[in-house]
Order: sequence, then structure tokens, then C-alpha cells
Amino acid sequence: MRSGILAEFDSADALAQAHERLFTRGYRRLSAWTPYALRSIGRTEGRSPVPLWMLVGGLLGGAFGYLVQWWCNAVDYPINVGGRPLDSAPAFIPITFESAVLAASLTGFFALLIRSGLPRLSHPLFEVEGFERSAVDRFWMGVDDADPRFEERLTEDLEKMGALRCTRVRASAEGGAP
Amino acid sequence: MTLASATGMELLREEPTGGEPVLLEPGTDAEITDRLLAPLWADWPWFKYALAVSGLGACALVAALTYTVITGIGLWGNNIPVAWAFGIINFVWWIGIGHAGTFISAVLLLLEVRWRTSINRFAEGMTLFAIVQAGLFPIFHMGRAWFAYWLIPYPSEMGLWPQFRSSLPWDVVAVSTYLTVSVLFWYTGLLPDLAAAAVRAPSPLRRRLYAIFALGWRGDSAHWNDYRATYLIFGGLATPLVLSVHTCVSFDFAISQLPGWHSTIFPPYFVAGAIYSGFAMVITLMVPARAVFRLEDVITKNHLDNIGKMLLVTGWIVTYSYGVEAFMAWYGGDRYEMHEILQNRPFGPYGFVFWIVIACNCVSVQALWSRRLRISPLALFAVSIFVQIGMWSERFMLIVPSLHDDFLPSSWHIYVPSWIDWTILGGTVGFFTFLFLLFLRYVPFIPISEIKEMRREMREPAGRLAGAAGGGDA
Amino acid sequence: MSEFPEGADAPPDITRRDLLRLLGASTALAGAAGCSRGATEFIVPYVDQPPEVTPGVPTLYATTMQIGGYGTGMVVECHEGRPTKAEGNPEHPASAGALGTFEQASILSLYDPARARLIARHGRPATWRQFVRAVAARQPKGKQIHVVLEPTSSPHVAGLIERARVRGDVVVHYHAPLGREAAWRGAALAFGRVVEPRWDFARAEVVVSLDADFLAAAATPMAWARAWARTRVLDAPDDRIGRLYAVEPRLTVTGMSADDRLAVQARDVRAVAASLLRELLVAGASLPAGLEVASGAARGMPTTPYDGWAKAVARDLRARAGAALVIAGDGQPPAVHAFAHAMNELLGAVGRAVTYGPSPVHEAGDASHDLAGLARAIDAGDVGALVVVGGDPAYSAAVDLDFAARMRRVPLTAYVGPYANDTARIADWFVPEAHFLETWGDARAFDGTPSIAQPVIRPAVEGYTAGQVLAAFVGIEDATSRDLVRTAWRSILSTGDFDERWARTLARGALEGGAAPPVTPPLDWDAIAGELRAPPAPPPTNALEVVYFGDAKVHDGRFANNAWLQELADPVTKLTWDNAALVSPATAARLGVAKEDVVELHVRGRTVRAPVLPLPGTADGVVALAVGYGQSVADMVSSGAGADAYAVRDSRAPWFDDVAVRTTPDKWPLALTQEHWSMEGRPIALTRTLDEYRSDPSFARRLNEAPLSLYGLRPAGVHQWAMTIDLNACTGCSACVVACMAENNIPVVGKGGVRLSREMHWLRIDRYFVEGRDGVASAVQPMLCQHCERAPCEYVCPVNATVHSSDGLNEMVYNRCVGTRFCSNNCPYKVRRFNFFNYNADKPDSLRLAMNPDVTVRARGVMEKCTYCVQRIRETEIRARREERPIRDLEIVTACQQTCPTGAIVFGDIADPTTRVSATRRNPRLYQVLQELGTLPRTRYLARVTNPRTAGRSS
Repeated sequence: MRSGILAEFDSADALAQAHERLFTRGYRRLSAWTPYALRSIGRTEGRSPVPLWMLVGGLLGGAFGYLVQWWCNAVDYPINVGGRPLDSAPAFIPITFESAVLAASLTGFFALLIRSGLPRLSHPLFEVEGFERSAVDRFWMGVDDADPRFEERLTEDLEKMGALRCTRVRASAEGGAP
Repeated sequence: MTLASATGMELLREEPTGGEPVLLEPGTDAEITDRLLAPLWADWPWFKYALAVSGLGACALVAALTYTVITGIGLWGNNIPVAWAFGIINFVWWIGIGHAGTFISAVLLLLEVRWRTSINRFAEGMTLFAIVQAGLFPIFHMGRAWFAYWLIPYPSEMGLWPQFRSSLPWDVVAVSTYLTVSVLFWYTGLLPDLAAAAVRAPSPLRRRLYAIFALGWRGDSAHWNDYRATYLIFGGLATPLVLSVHTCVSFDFAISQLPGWHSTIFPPYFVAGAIYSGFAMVITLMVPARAVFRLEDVITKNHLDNIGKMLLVTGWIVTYSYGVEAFMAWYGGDRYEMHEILQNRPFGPYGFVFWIVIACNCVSVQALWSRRLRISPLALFAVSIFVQIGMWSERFMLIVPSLHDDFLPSSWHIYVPSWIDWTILGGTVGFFTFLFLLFLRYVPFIPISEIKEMRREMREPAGRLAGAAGGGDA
Repeated sequence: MSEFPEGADAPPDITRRDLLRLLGASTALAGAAGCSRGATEFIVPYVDQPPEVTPGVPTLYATTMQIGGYGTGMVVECHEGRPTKAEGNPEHPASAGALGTFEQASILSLYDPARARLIARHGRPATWRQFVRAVAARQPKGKQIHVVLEPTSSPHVAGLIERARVRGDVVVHYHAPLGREAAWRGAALAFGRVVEPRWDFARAEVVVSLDADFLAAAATPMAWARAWARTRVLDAPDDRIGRLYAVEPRLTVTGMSADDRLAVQARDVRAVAASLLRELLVAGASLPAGLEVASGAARGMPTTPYDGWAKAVARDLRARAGAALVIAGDGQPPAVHAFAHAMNELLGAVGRAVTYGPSPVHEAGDASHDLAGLARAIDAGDVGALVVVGGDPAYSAAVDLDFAARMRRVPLTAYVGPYANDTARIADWFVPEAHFLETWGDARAFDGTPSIAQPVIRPAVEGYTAGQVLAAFVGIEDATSRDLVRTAWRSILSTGDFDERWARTLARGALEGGAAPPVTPPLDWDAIAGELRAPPAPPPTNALEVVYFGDAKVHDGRFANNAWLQELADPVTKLTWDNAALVSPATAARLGVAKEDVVELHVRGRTVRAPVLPLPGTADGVVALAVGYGQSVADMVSSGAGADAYAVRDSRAPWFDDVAVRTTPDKWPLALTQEHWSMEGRPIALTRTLDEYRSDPSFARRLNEAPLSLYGLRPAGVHQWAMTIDLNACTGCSACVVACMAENNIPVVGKGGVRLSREMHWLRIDRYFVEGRDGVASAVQPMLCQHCERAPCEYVCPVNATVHSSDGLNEMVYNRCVGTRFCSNNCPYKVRRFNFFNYNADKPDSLRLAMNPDVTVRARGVMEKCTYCVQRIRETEIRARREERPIRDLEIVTACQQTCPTGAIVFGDIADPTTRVSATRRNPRLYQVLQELGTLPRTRYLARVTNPRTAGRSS
């Protein structure tokens, strides 16, 4: 979110309920910051594309793995080794598989970092007082003021929903978006 | 092994009836966090001594390897016919131990085994350091270690390439892939806890350091979304990977035609053995750590009980493999195979090793049929030590006796390890311990965020499925 | 020349290595200096070689080596003026194209850095002239100069001996620890004069060997084995093959090749011979006249336990009369030789399988020249000066002569020898002896054929020869050995242009038609009768008997410092770097000793400690101990190797003697290249009797079928190299192993290395024991890279370091090898050897001169193995291409094949059906070792077919 309201909760359930409510009210530009994954919130995030990327990466890696072996032993330097066929397909499978796994894993890891914009050591959110506890035992929610249904008085609602405190953050104070 | 151990998993999945819970009086998230981070800030009076001792072992390892590279592989006991011995035994042993970590994090993750949570990071750390030990040997057992890079396909002025029909390049790729994936898996899981550590660390320096390693993790729900998906696929990838790595290792023997090596049962047999020794190592490390850091509430009797069962299951798979090996040798009726497996192994000059293997791997583990012993840390620890010894001896039994008398009796010759061999073996243990101590000292070795999540989901029955991070959207 | 020991199984010892470097340096430089002009200005190449050396092109010279007075011709390959390899000379009657282990390994002795190189008087440097003045000075009245020589057949030395005697104060003695006195005296006994039997085994269908190891490639004419092999040719099941009976106390190469073997104590061989002779005399249908006395004596003989055996063998011999031969060994007393001569007479072998000629050895069998005579002279105080030339009598003389002490009593003593050994330490004067490869000389073969020895390298040491020493006594102070030889040969080459014939003889390596004319002396049957009547020997004081024999590696000790020979596995025991007390397993059990236990052998009040090695095939009650070990010479590879049999060997019983054995708690580690001696019933070295073979002629063929395979890749070159080894001809003599070491720069790893099974031999001879019909039978099998078409070693190499060539060679690429050793694990024949250390780093520079420049020297950490002598293949290919002609069959000869006395090894192109190797591939005895593995080896074997008595009646 670029700017909007930040609300701090002291329990996952409180956050989950608040989030649930606003979501059913039609709010879509919601975000949350929690010490661990919350399935209920995850449900609202939609499917992650990373697995698909990993699949593609894996397939490419495997193909590359086989091609390297085939080209080295059968094309570029063909030589009689123990009377075995130059393109000994069965013997090339293990490396093919391993390189597929390697490629997929690397794709996954870096996809995760890139999509999350990590590493990013300094973030405006860290300036927000008390936010750091979102890594330990506090549950933060944010409503983006770009949301069509956004209104300043949302603060009270959130406090009614159990928010310990709400903070209004402005774009000016913000760097990039999460 | 897949079938057999899958049924093993089934055993482990449902909560053991009348069994211990996987988490005792958890307390609040903050309490859990500080409780689990406490060891990092606490002062360990014994640490520097332990580190010094293990460091000495590491130095011995470096010295022995340097001496070998400078003087020649002849410093080892190897000969012709026994061209492979301690080097490869240690390699297989360590890489085997390195299998439990990823197995626990990945396979148990997919199977949503809840008790996995408290011990997976611990096991992953162990995995990494075991792979480091194993990785030394393929390089240093070579006659010309300084040319080890010739196994990698790079365009050289020789115009030559590696020969990919050999299982050795397979190992190179398998082990390095395994190491990389394990590191990624481990580090990904570590991010939220590093973030927490960055918040709670007592000194600004530490706060900064942990913050850097946390890469600025913010626990953003969008991140969590990708994180869970990725972590889950990691698990899905790591599972076949775990199986494939030791399969490749077993190919070092299975693709040859040496009696005692040339056997189709090797891949499953090796994988089972690997996980067997891996779990044993987890116990060997976990039991003391649990006592030292008073972790009885997170690593409960339930964990001990389940790992004990794992040990029993894999132990039986291994035992079964021994049986099948012997049966096939007899059933196949090959004169050389029969001599090797039915005569030489049990009754040959290395017969005593065979009986050690049987005693440690097949007999000692039967103690774990008793639940009382399973939940007794001491008994479990004792069995785990037996299994370590047994599994090392098993690799000796597979490698040396098969080589020392093969087809032509004229070339039969006995093998005796040299003092350098023993130094290197001991050295790797020292080096492993050294790295593991550093890991315990500076890394949150119990996955905090996962514990917190599990605690919450244990409270709301709906979340039961989400036994572990990422289980949610599975 | 510690080419090795500590160095191999321990990190290299810098100081020692440097010391050796320095030691070797002088030799190296001298040799290098020799390269430029070489000796070529005055010696003649063997074949059409350019008179001056072309760099890179080896030059071949013919020369002669003398052991025990018998000359063997050889062809020496020189690279840039340094000899690197000795091969047989087909023109020489003793060599017949093959060469034994000693002659081949003598190359290494030439470069031995431990060789003495300075003339010294009491350790202080002196000159030849001073030596001559001191030693050759006329002796006062009643005193003589006594000269101890090794037995010699050298014409020029013989001439000089006679000339020296003219002086009046020069007395000559001969000393050879392994001399043939018994044989000569046996001949004198039978014929009244010393004659030399010339055996032609090719004409003998049945041979009875009475303790005669005539097939060993150790100081025996290769011609014998070559001829014998002709009786073992078996191309079709119904071919006839010869039969060999061996009667011997210990297992020998001959015994291993025998069809029928009788193991008896050495002292009982006489009884066996007598019994056999009696059977021939008594049962003989029609005896020539003049034998009544003998047959009478025979009838009067007491019975022996061997009569049954003798009856059967006699029947067999008579059935082959005219094509039967009985021979006796040097270790048997004269009577046994006499009996053998008598039997040959009865069997009509004389003139066929055996002819007689004068002994080539000067004054052979003349008892007045032995060391006992010298001892008496010393005791009588007649010896003014004692000059020992060659040998090492202080070490090897019969112990009861106490030679060392007696030598010390002589006012002036001198020693001319190769090493600073025991004798040298006693002598006042020491003069280095020239190695036969760096000086001129001559010798006669067993049949009297004279040949010249020419230097093949500029001398590395200021060495002198027996001829030069003797010349000094007749006033020729500084004659060159060349002048002496040429002078002597003027009488031999009296007819025709001397220089032209001299050159031709040099080039040919032996005088054409130089054999002494045969003689047919009448047999003295009364003497034989006398021997038959002689009372049986007094009962032994002990049931046990010690048997001394010449070692297959160090002979009488002269090669103790030769690392090639020390590391060569004994053909029979497979023992290296030691000798051992060989006993039969039964005797070992009776004595309660096991392998490597140290025992004390008590002989006539003297004692020697030796390690026990139980060896099947040894006669019960025999303790066999090789001579030549336990030398106390410092700074040599031989230091501390083995037990000194000379310490108990008595002149009254030089070959076998009563012995008492005491066990000790001590251990003596032995280094054997083969630890396991049973074939475990596996089809490895196939052996059948002739009858079995004829009833099932395809027994081997079944092991030659290529198993089904999915893989189609086959080598597609024009030539397809392959090797066939005929186990019927192979005797296991191990000459090929030395040839391989010399040709392929095989490093030596020392006793420690061998104990760790790290020996580097590319070619080994496997020796198995199998339960035969009569006790233990043995089987030998040369094992080398099989060059499999589906090589298991190749597909497991991660870096393409071992691959297949288009002409079917399994190629090892040293500089690509990273040393994973996976290939060795996967080689079912275990013929790959690994450089566990840098074995060449310890090699003194002088020994590097012996290296073959055509073969790569392998680095530490790489695998190596037999290449089928690829350097020879490529060299021939290039020559053929240059001459624009196809390669001829048998044009490429591998080192092992070249030197094989029995021609058991055939190498060639199987793509061409007309080659000899292709012919062997059609032999029904052809089989592959471990055929079921589907490796399709290119090296294949012809199964051995023995011909024991019960077998092959029709043959």
C-alpha cells in the first residue's frame, strides 16, 4: 500500500476477523503483516504464480542438463567408451533430473525474493512506531487510501474491531510500495 | 523404500493414542519467541571449550588432507584391488546422514506430520554440515585432487569433456544440487525467525546483523502467500531429490559389475540406510541439545516417540534389504555373487564387520518396540549411537570385502587402514561438530514462527490440516 | 641404488634421495658423454643401422653375457648411446631369440649407482699401474700368486690363463657357488672324460628330468625351453604332444610344467634314478653286449619305494625308445648324471635327443682348481698373493673353507669386483670390475659356439676385466680388453680375411657354424655297475633335509642389488625381496610353523635364521632355501633381504644336507605378489588331460562365445590388434615380466609396497595350485590388460581418461587421469596399477638412463596398465606408411612376446584371417577368461592340456 491506515492487533484472531469483515464489506486493497502465515488472509491473496515459474524453470533446466551430456559425449567429442552407444540415454537421466530440480529450486527462491522486493533492509514501515513487533507477536493490518471505499473514519471501526491503535500514514512519508 | 516407509508415515500421522502432545503449555507468542531466542543471547560457559575441542579435530582433518595431497594417496591404506576404502566409506556415510534433514523438512512437510515442526531446522542444519563433510571425499580421494574440476563440463583447451556414463559426474551434480537446494530450503524457512531475532537481539550490532540476514522480511501477507507456495513446492522437489541423491551414490557401486556391488536393490537399500543413519544422527544431536537448553516443552516425548518409530521402520527396511541381497545372491546362482555375499561377507576376513552391522543395525534397534524406551532420551541416544556405528560399518562391509576378493583369486589382497585414514575419519566428526556448534550458537535452531503458527492452529481445530507452514493452501 | 625401499610406503626421504642423486650423477654424466660419439666408432651394429646414431632411432648391438662360464647372446637396444633393453638373439644357439631374466635385468646393473668406481688400496685411491706393480710382482721362491676366477669359457681369458701359468708362480682356481662340477664329474664317471650333453628336447617325446630345472629362464639356455615347447604344440585334438616327468625335491618351473611329477627328497633322487635304470636294464628285451655286469649289478640292487613308479615310467620310456630323454640336474651327485647318461644310451637317445661335445668351460671338472686346493695352499703358507676376480667368495664360498679368515692370512690380497662387498672389505687392493656391457669380451655357448661381447656404452666406471688382470701377469700392463679379445680371435678366425669375418661375427652375434663338433664317447658300463653296486648312503641323521638352490632372481647373489629382479615375483613362490625356507604344508604342520615364522636351520653345527613359507609341491621332509640372499653390503636395495644360505652350506654337501629345524617366536614379514593360491574352482586357468580333451574337445570353446548384448559399437579400424597366450607352452618362467618392466619403464615399489599390494607390474604371472590326481598340481597364467572391447574400466571413468582406439586397444590417457581408481575397481582382471606415490622421484639419475624414451613416465596419482606395447605398434605403423607397404604379420612384436622362450605369446591383427594370431583364434582350446561378463577380451588363452602317463595311450 502506498498510504492509508495501519492498525495494530494483539492477536491473530482479532486481525483475522477485522480483515474478514472489511473484505466482506468489499475492501480489496488490504494488506497484513504477521509473525507467521495466516491461512484465512492468504485465501484473499489469490494464487501465487511462483509454482508455475518453478515448473518452467525445472523443465528448462532438465532439458539443458540432457543436452549438455548429449552434446559432450555424442556430438562434440564422440569416442568409443567401453563399446557403449555414444548417446547413452539411460546413463544421462540422473544428471537430467538433478539439473531440473536445481533449476526449479533456484527459480523458486529468486522468484520469491523478486516478487517480495527483497532484500530490502530499509522500509518506511519500519519507521512506524511499534511495527517491529509484527515479527514477534503483533498483527498489523493496512487499508490503502487508494481503495474506492476508503474513508478516514475507518479508524474508529478498526478500533471497534479490537485494534490497539491506528496510524494514518501518508504517501509523502512513504518510499516505494510493499 | 517408498511404499514401506509411506506406511511408516501413516503410523506417524495420527497423534499417538495416549501419546504426548507436540507442544506443552506454549504461553503467548512473545513468550515463545523470547523463550526460543533465549539460547542465542544466553552465555554458554562450556561453549568455547567444546568449540576448541571440535576445532582441534577440524585442524587434524586439514592437516591429514594436506599431507595426503602433498605426498600421495599412498598414505592411505588403499591398494590394488582395494582401490576404494575409507574415503568412499566416509563419503557415503556422511551423505547418508545428510538425508534426514531434508527428509524431515520435505517429506514430513508434505505428509503434514506435525511433530516435524520443532526439529526440522535442527535437522536441516545437520544436513548441511554433513554434506560439507561428504563433499570433501570425492575430491580428496582422487590421486590428483587438484584436477577435480575436470569432472565439470567446461570448455577446455584439451577439447575434452567429462564422461557422463560414469556415475561419478552424477554424484558431483547430485551432491552439489542437494547442497544448494538444502541451503535454499533452510534459509527460506529461516527468514521470519531472523526477522524476529533482529527485533529481540540485545545489542544494536546483533540487531543489525540479524536484520541484514533477514533481508528485510516484513511478514507481508503477499510475501507469506508466495512464501508458503514456494516452501511447499520446495518440499515437493526436495522429496524426490532426497531419494535421488543416495540413489546416485548407490550407482557408484550398482553400475559396476563387481560381485557385491552389482545389484539392483542398491538404490532403495541405500536410501533407507541413509534415512536410518540420518535419523540416528538427529537423535544423537537432539537429545543432548534438548537437555542442555531445556527444550522439553517444544521437543516433547512425542517427538522422541515418533523419531524412535522412524528409526524402527527404516531399520527394518535395511534389515529386509540385507535379507533380499542374500536371497538374490543365492537365487541368482552366480558363483561369484554367492561367494561374496554368502561366504566372504559373513565368514571372510572381514566377517566381524558383518556381525557388527547385524548387531547394530538389525538387533539394537528392536529395543524401540518398547514405548518406554522410545520416550527415554538415554535409551534412544544409545540406540542412535549403535546405528551410527552400524551404518558406517555397513558401508565398510559393502565396499572393502567386495573389492578385496573379486573374480580372480590371484589378485585377492587384504586391506588395512592407515593412521591417516583414521585421522581423516575422526577429523570429519570434529569438523562437523565444530560447524554444528556455531549453528546452535548463532541461528534460531527451533523454527519460532512455525511453532507460533502451530500453537494457534492447535487451538483452532479448523487449522489442524495446516500442521506446518504452508500446509494451508495445499 | 635404493631405487626404492622406504620411499614407497613412506613419504620420500629427502636426504637419502639427494645422496643417491649425487651417487648417480657421475655415472649419468659419463653415460651422457658417451652418447655423442657412443662406442659406434669401433663396434658394429647388429643389423643395417646407420653407423652413427640418429637421435630418436634406437641402435641395436649384438653382445654376449656369461654366467657360470656359459655365454648367452643378446641384442641390446641403445638410445643415443645408452642401452635400455636387452633382447634375445636368434643367431645365438643359447638364446635362440629369447632371453632369460638375468640377461634382461643386467641392463639395470650397468647403471647401478652402488657400483664401485675407484681403484683403492686400503681404501685410499690408487692407480691401475700401482696395482699391477704390487700384485704382478714376481713372488719369492716357494710362494705363488693365486688367482680365483669365475668359471669361464672366454677364449681370450683361457689363452691368458695358460700364458700366465708359464710364469711358474701363478696358480688359478675357479669358484662358482652354483657350479656344474657334479655334472662334469658325472660325465667323467660315465665316459671317462668331461663332456657336455647337448639336449634337443624337440626330438624327445618323453623327457624324465631328475631334479633338472631346464625350463627356468635363469642361467639356462633359452634354446631348451624353445625346443621343448615344440613338443607341446596342440592345434587339433588328435595331435600328439610330448610328456614330461619331473622328479624333484622342490617345485620348480620345470615341475610346474610337468605332466607327471614325483616329489622326493633330493637325497632320494639317486634311488629313483637307480631304480629307473634298473628297470631299463633288467626288463630290457635285447641289451647290447657288455651290459651283463651292469644288469647283474642292477638285479642285485635292494628295492626302493620308487620301484612301482620306475616300472611304469620305464615302460613309457621304452615305448618311446629313440625319442626319450633322461636328464639330471646340477644339484644331483655325479652318480645320478652317470645313470642319466646310461639310460640315454639304453634308450637310444644318443645322437638323437642328446649329443655330446667338449665343455665350453675352461678346465671344466678339473678338481685340482677348486677352492679347497686354495685353502690347502694358504694353510701351507704357499700363497704370496691372492687375487680374486669377480664373484664374492668371502660371502659365497663353502662355509667350512672359512675363506674370509684364510684370505686375511695372505700377505697380499686383491679383489677385482663390481661392488664393495665382503671380499672387497678383506682385500688390500680393490679394483672395479667392468660390466660386460661396457667392455670387450667373448664367451662360448653350451655347444661351444664362440661369440664376442662388445661394449654398448662409453664406460661409466674405470673397470677392468679378468683378461686385463691376467694380462698384467704376463707383462702386458695396460692392454685394452679389445686388443686382448682380437688377439685371441685371430686363432679362431684363422681362415679368410680376419677383419671381415670379425665384423660379420660381431654383427651376427655368434660365430657362424662355430659349434664344437660332437663327440660320441663310449659309456663305461663297469663304472655304472660300480655305482649301482655302491652301498646305499648312510641313514640320515635327521628326517629333514635342507636343499640349496640358485635363486630365480638373484642367482648366486650377484643380482642381489638389482631392483627389477628383487621385485620380480619368484616364478614358483611369488615371493619378492626375500628368500624363504620352503617346506611342504605337511612338513610345516609337523614342525608346527606357519608362513612368516622364523626358524633356525642347524646344519653341521652352524645356524641360519630364515622365514618359513609353506609351498605345496615341496617334498615332505625338505627345507628348500635359495642362496644369494642375506648379503651384508651397505647402501644397497638388497640390504637385509633374505637369509644367507651360504652361512651353513658345506663343501661336503653343497646341494643338500641333513638339517635340524628349531622354531622361534619371531616373525619375518614376507612380500608375496599373490596371496591366494586356490582357483576356487573357477574357470580361470583351464587345464585338462589329453584324454579329457579328446573326449570333450569343445570344453574351452564354450567359454569363447560372446554373450548377447544390446550394444553394437565395435572398433572399426583397419587393423584389430589382439593377443593369444598358449597355456600349453607357458612355463611361468617370468622372463616376459622383466621384459615388460624394461620396455615400459615400470617403477619399483619395494618390499613395503609389495606387501601393500601396490607393485606396478603391467604383466603378472598368476600361479594357482589345484588338487591334481597325484597330490598338488599347479597352473600358471600370464595376466595382463585384456583390452576388452566392452571394457568395464572405460565407462566408469568420469573424465574420458581410458577409452577405446579404433584398432581395438584399451587406451590409458595418463595426462587426463585424475586418479579416481574406479576403473581398477571395475576391472574384473585387476590388471590396472596405480601410482600411489611418485615412484620415479626416488629414482637415482643413473637409473633414469635405463629408461625407454619411447614410453611415458607416469606421474603420481594416475592409473597405468599394459598397452600392448603401443609404442611398438605405432612405430611399425609409421615405418610401414613411410615405406608405403602394409604391415607384415609378426612385424609388431610386444616385449613379452619377443622374449618368451616357449613362444607362448602371439600378437597380431585379427582383422586379417591369414595372420598367426588369427590362426590361434581358430584353435579349439581358445577361451576367454571370465567370458560370462561379456567383456569381449582381445587377450585370449589356449587352454592347457597335460599328457600324464595314464592319458593319451595312443599318442
